Order: sequence, then structure tokens, then C-alpha cells
Amino acid sequence: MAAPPAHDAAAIVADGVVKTYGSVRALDGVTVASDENAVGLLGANGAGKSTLMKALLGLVRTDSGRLNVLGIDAVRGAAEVRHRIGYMPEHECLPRDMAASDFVVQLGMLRGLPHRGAVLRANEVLFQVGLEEERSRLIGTFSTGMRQRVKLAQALVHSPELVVLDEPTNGLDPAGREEMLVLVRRLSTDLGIRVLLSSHVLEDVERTCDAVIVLREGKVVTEGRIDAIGVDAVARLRVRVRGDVHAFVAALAARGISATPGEDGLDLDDGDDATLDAIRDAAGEAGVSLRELRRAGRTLEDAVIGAMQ
Amino acid sequence: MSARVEDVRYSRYEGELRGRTERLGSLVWFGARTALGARRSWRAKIIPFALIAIAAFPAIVVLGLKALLSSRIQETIPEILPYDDYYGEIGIVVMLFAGLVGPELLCPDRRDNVLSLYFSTALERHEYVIGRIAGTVAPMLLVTLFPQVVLFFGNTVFAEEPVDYLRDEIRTLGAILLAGVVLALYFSLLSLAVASLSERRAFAMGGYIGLIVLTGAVGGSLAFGMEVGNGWSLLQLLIVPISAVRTMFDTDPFSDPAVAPVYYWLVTAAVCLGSLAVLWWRYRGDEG
Repeated sequence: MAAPPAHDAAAIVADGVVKTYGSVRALDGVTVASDENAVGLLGANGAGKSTLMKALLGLVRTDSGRLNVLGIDAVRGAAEVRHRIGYMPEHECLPRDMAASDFVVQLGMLRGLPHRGAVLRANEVLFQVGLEEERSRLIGTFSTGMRQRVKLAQALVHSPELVVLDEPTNGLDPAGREEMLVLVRRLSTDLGIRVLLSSHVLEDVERTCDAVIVLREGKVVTEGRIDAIGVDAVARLRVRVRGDVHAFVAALAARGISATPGEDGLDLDDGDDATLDAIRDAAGEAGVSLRELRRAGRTLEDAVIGAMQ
Repeated sequence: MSARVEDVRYSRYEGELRGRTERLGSLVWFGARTALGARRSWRAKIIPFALIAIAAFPAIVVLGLKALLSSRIQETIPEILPYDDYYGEIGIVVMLFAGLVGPELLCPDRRDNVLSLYFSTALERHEYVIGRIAGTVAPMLLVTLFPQVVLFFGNTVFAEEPVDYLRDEIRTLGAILLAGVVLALYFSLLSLAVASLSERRAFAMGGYIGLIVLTGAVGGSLAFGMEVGNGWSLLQLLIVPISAVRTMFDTDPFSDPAVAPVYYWLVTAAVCLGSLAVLWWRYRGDEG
């Protein structure tokens, strides 16, 4: 497969964007610039995520400020923007009485593909999302996970440069969520499609995105690459045991692992599976029981919660 | 079932994207197909095609009789089905067909929230409305225009002198074409306007038929039962447009010749404009 294409313009540039609904300031001077391939949009309900996405699509008109998508003014060039991006809404938005392939073909044609091209592309994207066998079935007979995939397929049918995904794992069971996350991640890593993903599930963003934008009450409270916004460069493990802690530390030392006892347990440098095996074996040798074993240090969750407080 | 993105069969569309007119045309095309039940179960097809068959039935019977009878016998019987009477014969069918098609195109889009996806493409709200109107009018022509055209060309074929018949009746053909379009537009707009008020097809269809039955009953009672005044017959939303188009065939409106034909046209135009206003109001908003 060919390497993903290089991108010319920044995916999103917002400069002092304001949008009010009556007395509510949904976007309050949003200023952000993102050039990463996959960006997560985080925030609590009402933080302004959906309004920002609708503004990017030109579906709501902002009161002031400048908003560029792929180098195009999202207000004056709304039609051009919508040509070049795909949108997967959060809510149910699929016609129950249409076959999946017909619907994706129709959306492809509405986005400017000729009929033959739309049919070919619909078959391709439905294959990509794992619905090749089911494409002729009525959408009304689909499970939630399959409907989410149809929503993703229609967003991809016209080969967009950027896809805007609004809570793509909503309503999915654990297996379906896992599949969707793999799918979303590969859009940016393998297929060269930029991704803007809105979610309130931090793990979804952490697993699928390179950078985050965190909104609170219509304002950007933090943004940047995930590995640069407060997440410790060197992850650590936190271990708590019941029993003779010193014997446990000695058993670890015998295995080449240094640990410092503290008030709340032991901190160890994070390692691979061999480290975890050593902890298990040292606990057995020292006759202690493991009470807690988790990653320590500042995570994305800590950083986001800190920014939102 | 696997949901993995495979590394094969994914390519970028490199061709030229089509313009606004073609994109709108696709909405019309899919709308017309939906209205006729294409790519759906036989249950979705049977009612629209049954109504089309019923609308065409008088024309087929007349032409069948002409085919069976010799030309000598044909000359001795009066014209069985004048063109201007045809709309009166199939008026109920036209009304029902519109009541089926309009809600079929609008209600599921609102019920299933598909509008947000449509508007996330380059489709504008007014284009959506235009597309749905055209998507309703196109299949409507199968009941308002197609049977009359079949009858006209059948009559031409069975005429003693087909070329003379065609030359003599060419104005009638123009009236048939115009009448078919006017009726399709009128009933489509009325049906869509009512359908835009509900997400449920059954409610929309019931409301539309109820409106026509109610106005027919009230207008008829006031004009002819209680004899309050002939003008009240203009309330009859089914009769009025049919009466209007009959005037194009140099025939007096059959409901009440005491009302000047221009009033039938004015009411027909007013209903169309009112329906457009309702559609504009319903789709003007910031939803989606």
C-alpha cells in the first residue's frame, strides 16, 4: 500500500472563535492550531465540542473570529470544506428503510461522486469497515456496532482529507468498541486520512490520537501532543504489598529491580512483561501478597482533569 | 464478523467531483426510486404500482375497446372518455398517490435524523427541499401525465387519419402535458407540506387525506347543501385543481360553472404557494 499522502495545510486553525446561543457562550474565543494527523477533542458535556465541530463543517455560523479547515475559510468556503471532509455524527442518523450500500452510494453522490464512482467507492469503504457481506441488508436490521460502521463508511466514501468523528464508540459493546478504535487509529496511520475525534472517553482519545484539544465552557484549556501535555516521559509502576516490605524489596533487588519504599507503597521503573514477572516472583519469594499494581505518574487523565479544574 | 481495516482495496477517488446540479439530481433520483419502492420488498412496491395501474386503467380500457371494435362501429359511438373528464375519473387516485409519496420522502428523513448527514455534505437546505419536491413530482407524473399521454397516442394510432388527428389535436396534447405537470406539482406540494409537520408517515398521510376530505365536505356542504354561496366550493382542495386544469380543454369546471375559472387557478396557485411557505418554514432552521 502506498504511504499516506503528505498534508499541505494545517487541519484546523481557529483564532478567537465565538459562538453564542442566546445568553450561552458555546465557544468563547477558541484559539487553536492543530497540524497532527489525529486530534482528540475532549471536554465534558456542554464544553463546546459539538458546536466547534458544527462550526468546522459550516453547519453553524460563528459570531466572530477566524476558522480555517484544511486552509479554507470554514464560513465563506463552507461548501468546499464539506466537500473535503467527512462527518460521522454521534446520534442516530441512518435511514432504516435503505440498504447500507444504497445509502453510502447516495451520500457519495451528494458529495459529488458520479454514480459509477460512488458505487465503487461505497463497495470499497464498506469492505474497509467490515460490512462487505452485509452491504445489501436494510440498515434497520443492523446492530448498533454495524450502524456505527455504516456511519463511518459514509464519512469516508468521497476520500476525504479529514474525517470528523463524534463519539464513534457510543453505544458499542466492549468488542465493538475495540474494533472501532482499531479502525479509527488506522485511518490516520495507514490510510492517510486526518482524524478529528470528539469523545469524553479519555482512553479512546489516548489510543487513537496523536494530540488533544481540551475544551471547558467554550474555552480551550489545554492542547498539544499527548506525549507532551503532562504525561510523564518515563512511566512508573506503583506496587503495594501486605507483609514484609523489606524482604520484598530485597527480592526485587536480587532480580535487578530497584524500588524505593514510600508512604503509599513502592515506585518502580515501568518495564516490560519480564518486570511484571519479576514482581510476581519476588512477591512469592518474600511471602507477601500484592495489594495493588498499577501505573504511577501523571497520565493523560490527570492532565485533562487538572486542566479542567 | 471482522471489522479490521484491511490493507487492500482502498484507493482514493481521484476523479473530478460533479457540480451542484448533478448532486441535486442524485437526490431527485433516489427520492423517486424510494417513492416507487425500488430496492425494497414487494410490499413497498405494490401500492404505488397498483395506483399507477388504476390511473392508467381507463385509458387501457378505452384503447382496448378501440382495438377490438372495427373502425365502422367506432364511428357510431360517442367519444367514450374525453380528455378533460379523465382527471375527474382518477382524481382520488392522484390524491392517494401523492399522500403515499410525499410522506415517504420526508418523514423518514426527519424520523431517522438523516438531515444532519445530508447537510454535512455540500447540500443546502433549500436544495434539499427542491430535491424532495422534484423527487415527488417525478413519480406523480406517472399518474397525472402518463395515462393521458398513452390515451392520446392510442387515439392517434386508432384514428382514421392519424396524421390529421395529431395535427388537429396538437393543442390538446399541450393541455395534457401542462395539466399533468400542474396537478403533479399541486398535489406534491400539498402532500409534502403536510408531511413536513410530522415524523410519522401514517400521521402525515392521514393528515393530508383528512385535510382534503374535510375541505371537500365543508366546501361542498356550504356551496351545494346549505347553498350559502357558490364561492365556498373553492374550499374543495381535491376538486379545485382538477376544475382548473379542465379549463385548458375549453371545458367549464364541472363543480360549479357559476364560479369563474380564474378563481380555480387563483386557489390552485395559492395552495401551492402556501405549501411552499410551510416547507420553507419547516426547513429554514438551524437544526442538524
